[in-house]
Amino acid sequence: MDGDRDVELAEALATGDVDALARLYDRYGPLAYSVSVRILGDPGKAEDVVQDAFLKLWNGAGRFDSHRGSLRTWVITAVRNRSIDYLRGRSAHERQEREIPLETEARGAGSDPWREVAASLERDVIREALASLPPEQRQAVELAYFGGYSHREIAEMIRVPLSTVKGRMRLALEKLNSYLHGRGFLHDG
Amino acid sequence: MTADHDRLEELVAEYVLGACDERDAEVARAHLVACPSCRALAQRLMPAVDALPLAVDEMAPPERLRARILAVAAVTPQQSEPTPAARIIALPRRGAGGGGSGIGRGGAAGFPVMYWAAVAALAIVVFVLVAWNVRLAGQLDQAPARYPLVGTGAMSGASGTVTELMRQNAAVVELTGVPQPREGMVYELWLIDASNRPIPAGVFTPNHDGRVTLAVSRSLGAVRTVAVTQEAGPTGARAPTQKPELAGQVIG
Repeated sequence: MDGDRDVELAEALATGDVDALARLYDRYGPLAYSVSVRILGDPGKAEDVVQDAFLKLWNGAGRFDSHRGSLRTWVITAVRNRSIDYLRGRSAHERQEREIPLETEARGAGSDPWREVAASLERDVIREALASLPPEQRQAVELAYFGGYSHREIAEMIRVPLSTVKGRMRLALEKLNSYLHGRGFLHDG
Repeated sequence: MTADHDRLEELVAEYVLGACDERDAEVARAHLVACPSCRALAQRLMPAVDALPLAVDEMAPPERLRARILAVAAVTPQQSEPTPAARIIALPRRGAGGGGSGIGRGGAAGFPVMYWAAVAALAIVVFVLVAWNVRLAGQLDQAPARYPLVGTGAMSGASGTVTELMRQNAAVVELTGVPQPREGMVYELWLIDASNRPIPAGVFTPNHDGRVTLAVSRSLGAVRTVAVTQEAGPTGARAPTQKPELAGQVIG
């Protein structure tokens, strides 16, 4: 598990330590690049996006808050958002960031999704979880996460009512959550 | 729970998935601040969303990507203004020795006209490629713009790319196929503006495999040509004394 080391890495990053940026890249760069390639379908564009995202993270390293999420989530979210912006032709200022208010009673200091989705979480398990979803639910989640489509766009695209898309997304995430719980990868706070 | 709350609760899954449009995202954000039960729901669903990227096939990014990121970070310190003079840094490659060496210097001097003919010829050769590159780069808001460098003469096997990072007020110069300089010589990078004034941007030597990654800590806004000459080592010259054998035009 990289959790504790991630905090130290983030602290070093915030001091302007370029070696820390190198370690951050070595740790999460391949995953970040892979996610960007998956979204964009173009390794060349993914290079630009990952470079841009890492430099933005570098310049904003002081804003990382380990109480709000892990370093890995921070990196991957930045790369995913930038990739979607690129894909959809949006400028960065149009991007709405997901931000969930802290619930300190339920989630103690240092808790984050990646501590719950432990380092031992295997790609195969996530894929199994996705494969366990009904196809229409998996489609809704993948179009949203990897395609950057809004629920309204998805409803128009697959020609179903908006309420149906909403229901599929909610059910899909509930089932993924349940599956990962069942496999011991997520734990209650 | 009210019907209004039920409607807002329906937004939570979309919000954590990033599938809300801006208007709905604003509504969801405001509601999550005020509603503990929806906040708990969002926090419960988040780990599933954050696990999604782990499903992708992991690919190794090109080695140059790491070098580029670190090169630019090295010359763009966090929360600092761009440095007034060009500074060049060659980075070590992962798990290896030096990646070339660089020494920053300032100053400017005249540049013999005869050398400009060579630079201009090289620039014409790459102009079409540049225009194409710029058009592509324009498809992304402040995307890096790339300009090719073409070698001739002793550097005919060399080529390179200048990547302009407008947001960072910096540039990365990546060269391949660069032969070792003659004994006692080093390569020197020049940024040449519209009035033909060459600005020395540092000296370097290539890796054993002929690769070099250099970062330039200044905007290329006023630069029209990037060129490389061989100069006396270890510090290079204040103005080019040799004919450029690697050059390319930058369209600002």
